[in-house]
Amino acid sequence: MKIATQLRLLAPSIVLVTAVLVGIVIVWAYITLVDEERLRGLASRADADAGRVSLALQQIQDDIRFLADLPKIAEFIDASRRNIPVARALAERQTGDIFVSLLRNRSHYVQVRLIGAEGEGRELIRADRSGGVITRITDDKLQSKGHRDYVHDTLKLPRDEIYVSDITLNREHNVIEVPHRPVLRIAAPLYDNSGETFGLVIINLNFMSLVRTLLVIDDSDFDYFIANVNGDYLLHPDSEKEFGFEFGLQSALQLEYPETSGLIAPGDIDSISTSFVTSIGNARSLMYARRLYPFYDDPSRFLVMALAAPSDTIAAPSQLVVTRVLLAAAVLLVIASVLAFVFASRLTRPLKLLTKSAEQVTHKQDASFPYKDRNDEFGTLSRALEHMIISLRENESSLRESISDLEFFSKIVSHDLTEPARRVAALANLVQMEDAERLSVDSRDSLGRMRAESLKMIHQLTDMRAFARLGSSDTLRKETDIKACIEQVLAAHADEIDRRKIVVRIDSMPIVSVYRNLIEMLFQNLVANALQHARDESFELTFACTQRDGQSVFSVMNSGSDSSLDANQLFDAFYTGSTDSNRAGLGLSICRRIVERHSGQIWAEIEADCVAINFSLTGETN
Amino acid sequence: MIEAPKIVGDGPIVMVDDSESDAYLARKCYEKSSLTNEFVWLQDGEELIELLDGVKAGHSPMPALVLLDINMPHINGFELLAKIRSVPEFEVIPIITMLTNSNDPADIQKSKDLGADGYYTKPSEISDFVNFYNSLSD
Repeated sequence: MKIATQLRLLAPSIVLVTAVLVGIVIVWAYITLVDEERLRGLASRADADAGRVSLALQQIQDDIRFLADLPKIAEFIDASRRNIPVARALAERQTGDIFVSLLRNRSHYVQVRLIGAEGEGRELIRADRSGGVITRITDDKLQSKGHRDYVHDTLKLPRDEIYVSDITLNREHNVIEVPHRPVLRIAAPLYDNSGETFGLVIINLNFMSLVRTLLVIDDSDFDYFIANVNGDYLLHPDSEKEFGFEFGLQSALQLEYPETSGLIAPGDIDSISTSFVTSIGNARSLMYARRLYPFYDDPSRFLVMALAAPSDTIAAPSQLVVTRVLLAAAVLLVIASVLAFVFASRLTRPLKLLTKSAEQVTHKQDASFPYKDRNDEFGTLSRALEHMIISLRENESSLRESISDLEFFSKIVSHDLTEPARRVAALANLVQMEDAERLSVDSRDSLGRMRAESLKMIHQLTDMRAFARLGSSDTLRKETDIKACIEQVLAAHADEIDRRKIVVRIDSMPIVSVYRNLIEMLFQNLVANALQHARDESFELTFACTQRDGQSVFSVMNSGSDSSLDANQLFDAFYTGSTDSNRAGLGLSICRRIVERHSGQIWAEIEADCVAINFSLTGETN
Repeated sequence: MIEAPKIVGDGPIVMVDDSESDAYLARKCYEKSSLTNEFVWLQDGEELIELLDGVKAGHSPMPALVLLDINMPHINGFELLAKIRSVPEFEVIPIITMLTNSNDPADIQKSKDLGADGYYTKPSEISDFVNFYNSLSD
């Protein structure tokens, strides 16, 4: 990937990554702060709820004290002691009316009773709430309760003290009432004028009705938990877990939420409250738990109330704000990324254009260099590049002129030297034809040698000129059918091939991107080399191509060759392999230069009767 | 190598070459061939132009073939070839360029481009030259 493209992608990427990292930090801080606020809100609500529950429970205690001090009850006790039936009946009826009135005004009270100490703790006055109806219980339905703990325990209390029961499910005739009705009993002892215990007055409170009304549980998004001093659930979102201890079930606050263990532990504690993050169901929730002491006469009789809410529920009001903020942040992020990309594109555009100009130069196309008038790095680069290219082209032009001059000089020299040599050879040949009979044997021999040397000179000059011409070749690579090249070269030697009965075989050849004129010269020299070095009149000349390591390797093989040739020197300039050769020994050296121009390799394999010249060419093969 | 047309008519075979030795060899070989046309040697291009002017004027017969050396002083073979081919009347004259070196593809191509009917590399074998002349007849 190009640097300009990398920079264009890098800029928005940095913006994106930085924004995401900053966003993560902000979200983390936001969640932490919001959780703090949520916990504080939760604690505030829980404290208020706990205050209401405590107040309601204290009100019962105040009511029981009020009843215990009621003059009508004192009159009832006095009339009972003195056995005055009319006064007793009047006080009994008026006290019963007070009990009924109390039930009517305290909707969570389910029962108010006056129980005598005598007669096995028989109920003397009783008002009940049943099915929403308040009734005064008639004498025939009053029960003896002397066997119940609350009767025993209350009768033992001194004046002005009250009894508070555990909160348990109500029992009728020692059987848990169905449907379950959690009850709290609060009682106060009654004394006659002589200080003798007369009995007790007691209020039964429907605990569940009280808390559900006070805490508005049914319409709340919060989960409420209330546990007794042992952690046993008195209130739980899952009603199955409430009062499990009544049925021998292990279901306690500290077991489900170990973070509350410190609040359940007896004795002094460091703090009456704790808050923590937990999960309820699959929802992440915040929980706040605290002790409450509704029974001020007995601090050891505390309750633990916990309030929990899913984070989403607490954060619901702020969720819309958060969503809008995130949406705005995303939009800003996209805008920032686009701006970063555009800005980076503008910055890197000169680099892209300069690179394009450099590529045009590489492909020998006309190139213009932009931003030359800028005073920044791009301007300096552009000016330097243009200066370099101009300088390079001038040097190239000068070099071409020099090469052209040399080529021309070489051609003239070659021509001027070749022509006399050819004429000498031809004239010697003419004398051989016309006057051979008049010459002596020695003269004929000398004439033959003179003609041979002239021919050798012609061949050497021809080879040297071809060798020199290689350096100035500047043709472009073209898709070239190698087989067509070979056939063209063989056509030039058709007469000799027919005359010597040479068997030619051409394998399948690829089309390769090469300098065509050089490849023609390569095969021309290889064929000429084979024709020269094959001793036999009839031999086999094979052109083959194989694939090795993804490269095409070409071979020109001929049988009937001299196996004494040195494969290591074969491609050296002026190596002829024999002293009587007419050639300059440049043919295979030219071949090596041509192959090297194609960044390939050339090598020879010489066997007993066969010489193979192999070479590879780089270039796209089709 | 020969890539040559056949001679046309009984006009002279004209050789243009600045080398007297080449002209001597060409004439000797021609005498050994089966051709019977008159053999005319001209030493440079200007003489050929004069000859063709005479042909155009009707004073001289149309050449049956022109053998044209390339490397000549004053006006070289290529320039001469272009000049002849520029005259419509002389488009029919067979012209063969005489090359010093048949391995020079540029010279061969240039000959073809300028309108030569063939090229022939000057031989060092008398028999080759004689065979070349013989190949020009029907």
